[in-house]
Amino acid sequence: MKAMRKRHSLLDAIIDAVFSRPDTVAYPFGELQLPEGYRGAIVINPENCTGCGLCVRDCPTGALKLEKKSRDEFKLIHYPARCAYCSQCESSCVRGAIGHSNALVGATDRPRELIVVLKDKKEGED
Amino acid sequence: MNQIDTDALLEKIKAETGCQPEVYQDITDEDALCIPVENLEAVIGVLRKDFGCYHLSGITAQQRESQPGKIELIYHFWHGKGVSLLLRLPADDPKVASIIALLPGADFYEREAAEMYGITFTGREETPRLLLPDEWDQGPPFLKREASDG
Amino acid sequence: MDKISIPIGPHHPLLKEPLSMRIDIAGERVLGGTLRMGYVHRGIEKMTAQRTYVQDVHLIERICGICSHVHTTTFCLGVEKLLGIDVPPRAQYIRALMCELERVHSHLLWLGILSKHVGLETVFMHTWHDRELALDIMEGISGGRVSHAANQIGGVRFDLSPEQEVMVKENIGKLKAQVSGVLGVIENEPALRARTQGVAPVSADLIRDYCVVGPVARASGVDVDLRRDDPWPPYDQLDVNVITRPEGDAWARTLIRALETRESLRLCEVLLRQMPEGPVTVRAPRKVPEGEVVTRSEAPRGEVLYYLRSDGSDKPARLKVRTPTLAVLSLLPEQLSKIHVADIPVVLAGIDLCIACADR
Repeated sequence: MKAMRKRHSLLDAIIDAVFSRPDTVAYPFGELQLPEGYRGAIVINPENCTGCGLCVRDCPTGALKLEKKSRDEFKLIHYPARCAYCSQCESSCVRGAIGHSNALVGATDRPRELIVVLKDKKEGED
Repeated sequence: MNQIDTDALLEKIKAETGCQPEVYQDITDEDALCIPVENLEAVIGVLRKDFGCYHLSGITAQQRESQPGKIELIYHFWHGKGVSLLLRLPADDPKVASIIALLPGADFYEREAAEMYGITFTGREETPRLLLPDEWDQGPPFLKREASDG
Repeated sequence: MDKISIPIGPHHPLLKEPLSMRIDIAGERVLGGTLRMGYVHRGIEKMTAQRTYVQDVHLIERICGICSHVHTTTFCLGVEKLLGIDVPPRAQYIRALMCELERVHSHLLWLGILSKHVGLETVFMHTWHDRELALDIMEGISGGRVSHAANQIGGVRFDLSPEQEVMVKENIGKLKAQVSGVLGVIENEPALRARTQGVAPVSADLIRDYCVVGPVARASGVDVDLRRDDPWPPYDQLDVNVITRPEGDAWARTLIRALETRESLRLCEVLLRQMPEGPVTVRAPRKVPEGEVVTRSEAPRGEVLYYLRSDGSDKPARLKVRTPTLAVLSLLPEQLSKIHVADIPVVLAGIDLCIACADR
């Protein structure tokens, strides 16, 4: 009798499972719910970035590269294939200029130019 | 678990081996003793028999810039608190007695130190490769040779 | 009876990670075995010396997928000791919370794997389903199920908002209820007991000689748990119940991990209840003064040792990592010498292999 009662714990679990909804989402047809801290594609806030290179120095995989022509002319390049999505760049930046968005990243080995600052003009991607 | 009293340990080691080990102060929050290479087994015997300290956590091999021409081995023991034994071996002929007869658990740690630094552990069968591939022929990867090495 | 040598690995359905073994059998009895590892050796120790401390935290997180947080915590504790900085109490609690959640998810994963090897596929699916709750909690607070990137030198990267704390508390409550159900099955299911009781018993003396750590040691009656015996804060303020069993066989190893899961969930609740307010990080200098430090932690599989030597620059001079699976694997040939062929999966599973940890 005792064994039967204990065995029922597995039976209970099985019956619950039969009547509950699946945990998976039929992406892309279902709605994907990402957590608020999800570390997706890297984005830049072009207003704040000064090309100081702190993010480049601290990136553990070398996924960021800064090409600096002068104080106002620089390019920050991000390599999504090398990126570990660890958010060290976000932690290292003292101006809050770089960070993660919620966007999913597809597989690519092409670099992305994140911000290109030219004299008198500021352009940023994303 | 009662932590080992360093003074009592030093006394017992002196009684057993006749040598006074040097207390190495630089490892933060740990007791570290610098012992001569030939006294390793005796000191481990003292730790086990007189203090009940049998747990070897690992063996670190390294080379220090402040001790050129030497390879250092640190045996990390633990008994309520860490106790480390430091040995310094000459880099051109690093030999030390194997302790796997006393502590079979030291096998993997000795094999790793042997293949990474080229240390020879005497008194055991030849140390087969543990982590490096069989066809690795570029010598011990961690060993800094005369020309600057990464 | 003729002796046959059967190779298992490096790639094999029994194994999650590559490991090569040659097992000698005569009929149904296993005579012994040898093993060869190193298939996942990435040279991480050497790589840490070529990167700065800030970069190394992320490198070390990738030594292992299951116990990534414990590795980074132990490393950060060592660096912080050399820097002489004090991590804020709230950060210590968050670190411990993630460590315990990691223990829960690791043990549930393991229980599933053991059940699958034994033939109880249903229990495998249920434990892995319950494990999703633990992963959901970790994802909700850190943004990632497996790669949490929780630690940084000086504290943790994120704080828990009041809503997140409520979410964590609710999910832990749900997890406790579900884990009790699974525990009931594990303790009473005759098939599981028949496959694991009496299999490969290991005496406490053998544990001491081979310097085995973790649940495998506690399953043979050796009463050691670094959370109680050599704690880093906040474990020194918690009352950790260390669970041991005297039998030393595969059944004891199973039961220990199941009971430790329950204990970890209780510790998570205590941590949440006692969590202090305050900042979660302090500023840490990049250059670490010269010094050496040894740090130990209790990972899900046992004792993790980190020896760090700094030469005053912003890169470590030497980092030595000794992971628990390396300590436990040395016992494998000994365990294999007493069993039948059908017990091989149970013995392999009982060690809770994490080869990525062992190989680094």
